Amino acid sequence: MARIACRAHYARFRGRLAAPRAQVLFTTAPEIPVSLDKDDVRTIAHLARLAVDESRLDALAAELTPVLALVERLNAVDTEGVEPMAHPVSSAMHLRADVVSESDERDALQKPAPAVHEGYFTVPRVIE
Amino acid sequence: MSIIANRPLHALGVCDQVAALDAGEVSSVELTQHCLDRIKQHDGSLNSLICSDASAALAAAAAADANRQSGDSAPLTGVPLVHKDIFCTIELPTTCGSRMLESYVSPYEASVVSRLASAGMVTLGKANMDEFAMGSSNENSFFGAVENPWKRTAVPGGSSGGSAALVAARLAPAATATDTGGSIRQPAAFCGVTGIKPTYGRVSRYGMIAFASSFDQGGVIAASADDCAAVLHAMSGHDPRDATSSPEDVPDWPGALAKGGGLSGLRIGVPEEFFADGLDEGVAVAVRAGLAEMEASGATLVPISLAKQSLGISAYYIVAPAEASSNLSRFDGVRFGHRCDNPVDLADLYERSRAEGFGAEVQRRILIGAYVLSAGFYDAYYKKAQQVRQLIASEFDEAFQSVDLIAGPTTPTVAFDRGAKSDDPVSMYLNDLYTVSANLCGLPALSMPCGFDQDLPVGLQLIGRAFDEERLLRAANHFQQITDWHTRMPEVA
Amino acid sequence: MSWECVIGLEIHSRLLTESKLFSGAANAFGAEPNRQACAVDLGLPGVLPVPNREAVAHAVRLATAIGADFARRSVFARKNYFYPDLPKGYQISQMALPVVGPGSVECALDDGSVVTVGITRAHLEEDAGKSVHDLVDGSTAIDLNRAGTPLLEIVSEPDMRSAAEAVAYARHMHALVRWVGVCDGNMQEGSFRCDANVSVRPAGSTELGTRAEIKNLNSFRFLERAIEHEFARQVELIEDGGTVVQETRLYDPDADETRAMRSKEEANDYRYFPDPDLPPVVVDESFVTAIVEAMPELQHTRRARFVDALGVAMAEASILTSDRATADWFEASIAEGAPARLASTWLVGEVFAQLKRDELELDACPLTPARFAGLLQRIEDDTISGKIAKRVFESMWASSDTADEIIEREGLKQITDTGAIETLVDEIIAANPSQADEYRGGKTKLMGYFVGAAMKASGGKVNPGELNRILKSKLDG
Repeated sequence: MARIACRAHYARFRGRLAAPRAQVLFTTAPEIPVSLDKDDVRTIAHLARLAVDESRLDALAAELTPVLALVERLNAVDTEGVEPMAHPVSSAMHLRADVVSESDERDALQKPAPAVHEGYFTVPRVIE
Repeated sequence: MSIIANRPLHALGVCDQVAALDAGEVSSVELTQHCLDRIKQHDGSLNSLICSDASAALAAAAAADANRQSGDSAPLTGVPLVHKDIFCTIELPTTCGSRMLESYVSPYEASVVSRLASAGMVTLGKANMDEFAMGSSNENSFFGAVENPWKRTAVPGGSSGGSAALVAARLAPAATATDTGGSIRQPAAFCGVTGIKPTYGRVSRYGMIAFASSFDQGGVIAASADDCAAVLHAMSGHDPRDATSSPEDVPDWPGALAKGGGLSGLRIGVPEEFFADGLDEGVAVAVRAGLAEMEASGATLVPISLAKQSLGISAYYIVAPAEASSNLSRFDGVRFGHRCDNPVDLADLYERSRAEGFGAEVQRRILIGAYVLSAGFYDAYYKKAQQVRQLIASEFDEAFQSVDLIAGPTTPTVAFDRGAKSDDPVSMYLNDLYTVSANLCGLPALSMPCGFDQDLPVGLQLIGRAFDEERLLRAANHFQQITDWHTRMPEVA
Repeated sequence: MSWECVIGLEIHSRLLTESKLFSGAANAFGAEPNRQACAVDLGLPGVLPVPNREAVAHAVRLATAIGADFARRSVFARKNYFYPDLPKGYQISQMALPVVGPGSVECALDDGSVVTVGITRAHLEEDAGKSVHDLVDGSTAIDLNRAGTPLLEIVSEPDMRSAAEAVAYARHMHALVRWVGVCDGNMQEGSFRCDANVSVRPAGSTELGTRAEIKNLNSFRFLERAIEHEFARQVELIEDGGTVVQETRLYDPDADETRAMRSKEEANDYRYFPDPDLPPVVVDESFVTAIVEAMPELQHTRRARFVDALGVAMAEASILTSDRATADWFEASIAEGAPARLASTWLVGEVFAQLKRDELELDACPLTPARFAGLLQRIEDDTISGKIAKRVFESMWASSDTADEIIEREGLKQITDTGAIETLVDEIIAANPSQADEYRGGKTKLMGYFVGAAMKASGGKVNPGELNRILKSKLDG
């Protein structure tokens, strides 16, 4: 995967954002917009285990690029030394006492399963 | 004096219904039957519910009446409501608006559903929503778009579009909802109803199907702030099944509202950035008029600046898809949910089940999320966005040193027409411009109707300090005592 | 060219808890498929993880035992990958901020040398379920009972240079996790498994070669064989002009070789990020202090105390401290009045031999520490000789009688009365006049003959020291 400076994508992106109600967001031009190409989409689609038809890859890349380009706004912000905020509340986590609270509910829990065999979930044979 | 007087039953909100039930003017079966009749009559085209079960609802209503008879009643016993179809229920299916869960029935129940059942509420059915809560127009539901009861060609907002539309159409007095980037407040604004997203951690997320775990928060949509307060109070509180659930005590909000009181002494911050370019003029006019009403009631309007606020949307659309891409990995066709026909091998099973089960917007966000977390990109995207999130939170902290609430528009525009933005994700995302920051920082926020623009409702948003829902609710409740926007009803059918 | 093998180990030890790491399902081995997998373990829509406090406590124990820092704040992260026995599509683990920081252990090899192995970190993580490939035709069957069971993954530095060192380290850690009570160490059930990272480099080089990771080694023997084979394979590969590729391999004990895993061929991009369902684990001092104070004396300090304070031989002390139960049993016998050095010799010798013969573990020993102490006391106070003591020991093993009861009943009490011994000696000398003459003529080796005859005549009960003294004085006199 590569980050490619792509003026064409950028121009299209700016074009969309030229709508009046978007102006507030993107008044400064990002220096190097990010774009996705079809190889990137193929790679991430595989990572995410989503079947994507080869003919759709270019269109998807074009759809996703402007979303990623939103990040360029962030590059202008100085975040040196700022602790990333992964959780909105800072209170310490509640830990659970080590007690068995769940009993066997296999039949109910497997009711929504697409395929079971003698209590096992099954999938097409995997070769290790 | 009669509570109901000469009003139709659907004009009664949650608190009115409780009072009428207490006074013996109406039974839960009558209220429930009335809702079911209206659903039958109006929801065919509105499409605000994915499913409902009339006989189960009536049975629950009859049980509620019996409990009231025997003096064994909870605060909301007998009041009907609808659950957003993101909350797991054991009797009704839980689809999350997705083909992936088209026929899924959860083997366990969400904590919110259990709590509201314990509070005596009667479940009518499940509300339509954008698939996996991803969307701002409710056009992303596998079960079809929802109409805005004020204008049938317009969207109701999303993702809790079904909840907002059905309350606006008075098919039920209240509906549960969830808010990840504005999904309670934006549809509440578009449909002219009141919706509150409480502080992150206030309402249990157990059994609420996750979109972006560090943003998702359950809440309620109803006609008024006091109705929201009543339902939210019953929903809130620590849940040992949710490690992010807060141990904070839940104040008696309904009691606090009952005491009344004006707005004198209340300092309301008005960020200039909320009124910058990009906000429709008609929306600005209505919101400013609303703020003027509050000032006239004794509140002080304090001009403030939230310069980093506009970065929220960028940070949000990096972090939320990242969390979503991981949260949605469990939908793999193995243990539940959609499995493709005749998979040739495991890879085929995964890739086709997921491609068939998820709609376009969900797939887009999964792809974006996988990308921003992938090797070599994490720091530039995810980490950077989380750092900016921290800066936005600091800016709010600072602002709340000098003001008690922050107010502005909920959305940049009123409801737009279906199809207007469905092929342009970024312009759709800009709907969340004013709402995402509260999610990024876990702050409570509320939207209430404050007027109309182009004959469509305008929402006024209030954002509060963490765990200070009380101030939001009191301010909104007072506003609704001096205005009547929240009592306006669309002419359904 | 000579080659050096460089080995680092990742040890997965299943923690001894009642319930799983993030759910209230039982953490036990051997249930029917999926009967110990609750909604949380299955990753059903809407479920959430809540961490088990005892698992965090176990991490404190391990940190203390290896002299490592325990992180007062640690963070759970998601490791994202798809596999049918990984229900959520991610494993909850720890990445940037693990719960246990750097430490080190000193491990003894069979030849008496010691290797110091650095421990990079240890982190909490949930185990995956099990895939069974040969049960259903054309399908892989998934059992999620193991999914969500708590693991502490202990990651070593690449400090080992031979299979023997790796085994010494693995054995040391195996004993240590059992010692501090965090893991039962059952390798057959997979409670203690090793992944070995193996690379080679020219002897004398300081750079690390490309490593192969051999997964799921669940016996010390497999660990040893797998490393030896992988070392030989890599050397041969390089010497033939090839290069080692970074990959995951499996050790096949039947073929006695390692082979690449097909399912892990593609490079993984795990997309780690902090788990948004789990705020940081923050523990306060009182939590840590309470656990540390309740910890058992550690193995090496206890061993040193046995040697220094109780006078036990080093070799015996090592055996006595091989696990806590043995050391406790030993100290219980001392508390009951057993002399320490006798107790050590007898426990390591007679008791262990007898247990082995009867295929018993110490916790099923027919002898209690108190009865054991009672026997040793009779040796110490010369009531019986060591030889008689072995007879008494046999009787005690087969009954619940005390040593005193057996000695009394069978009349085994040693003869220490000088007069009685003198009478006996006189009789022996009188009965063997020619041998007495030969002795007095200078053939002093015959002393042994007289001792033997006296012992035989007394049924072994004469005090040997006293007998020698009197015999000598009578014969010499």
